[in-house]
Amino acid sequence: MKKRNFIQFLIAIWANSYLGFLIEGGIYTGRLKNLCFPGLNCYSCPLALTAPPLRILQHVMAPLRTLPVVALKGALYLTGSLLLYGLLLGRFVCGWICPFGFLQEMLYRLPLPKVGLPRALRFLKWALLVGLVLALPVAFKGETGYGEVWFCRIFCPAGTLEAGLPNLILEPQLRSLIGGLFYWKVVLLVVILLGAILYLRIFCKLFCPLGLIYGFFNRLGLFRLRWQEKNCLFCGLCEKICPMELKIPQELNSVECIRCLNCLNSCPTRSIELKRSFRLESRLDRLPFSVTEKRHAFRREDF
Amino acid sequence: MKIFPRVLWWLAGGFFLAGVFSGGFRFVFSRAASLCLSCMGLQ
Repeated sequence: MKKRNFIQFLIAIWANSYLGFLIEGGIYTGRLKNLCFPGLNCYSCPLALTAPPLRILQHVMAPLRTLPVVALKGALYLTGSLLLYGLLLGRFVCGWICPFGFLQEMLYRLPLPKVGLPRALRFLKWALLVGLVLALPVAFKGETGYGEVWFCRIFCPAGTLEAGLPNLILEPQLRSLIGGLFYWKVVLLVVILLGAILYLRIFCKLFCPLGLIYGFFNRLGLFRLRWQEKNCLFCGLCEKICPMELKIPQELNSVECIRCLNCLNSCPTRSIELKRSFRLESRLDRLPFSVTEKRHAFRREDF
Repeated sequence: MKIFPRVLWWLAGGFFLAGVFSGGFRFVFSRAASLCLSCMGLQ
């Protein structure tokens, strides 16, 4: 197991280390539930210690029309937490912290045929972020007078896997509530988990709104990747090993990069570096490749 | 544009502290400390 996978494993275990449900039943209600855990990890999981920001974001949007002051307090805390996670870590959260990302990477290791998917499908996560996470919770009120948490309700596979299935096993009285919506979520979960076996990090690439939010910080956050043309052999090893199938170096700091650092570690000449920066990524950082594209192709063939 | 990320750092710290001192974490707790039927697909 790689060092990064081991760190993912340890964090996933820590985030889901509450065993009190075996004695007391129910979910954890201690002080750590005040904290936003940066990754995708459902708080209704009997083992979960913390709250996930995506769910809280929907909870902030839901009462925005009816209880704006209450929502504002939560919004301040959530926005501050998301900005700090984004600026400090960016999509390092996806590559090193998120338990659902770790699960997908482990599933992809199963020795089954692998497939490719069109890159245009990655725009689906924009629709999920804007539609289900931001717009619908504000737009539609439920029976309680608040908006619904639409992404968690009709889409989130982590909720079905970590909360739905375990709680139905532990609390039989909940089984009377099973209906069409639950079956839909189970089918979706199975499709996504099977998809993860065939296509690496299918949920991160196509569907994850949280990863998209952190992706915006890849050009703004503390850590950026930089490519040094003078050292590069143009061997293309970095592109081959990239789990997100990015064009390197053009997309080193794009919203899609999950900061796994595979490119950096695989580079024989260390021409990709992780730099700290407090300034906005300059044009020089972003566009060194356009002028050398032909040379790149030529030297790669030569290699 | 050089100033923009620095402003974001100040905003992040400001929002976070304002959220903590206004009791925003209690909002998070009130939502996260009870079983969510929507998450499970049961509501």
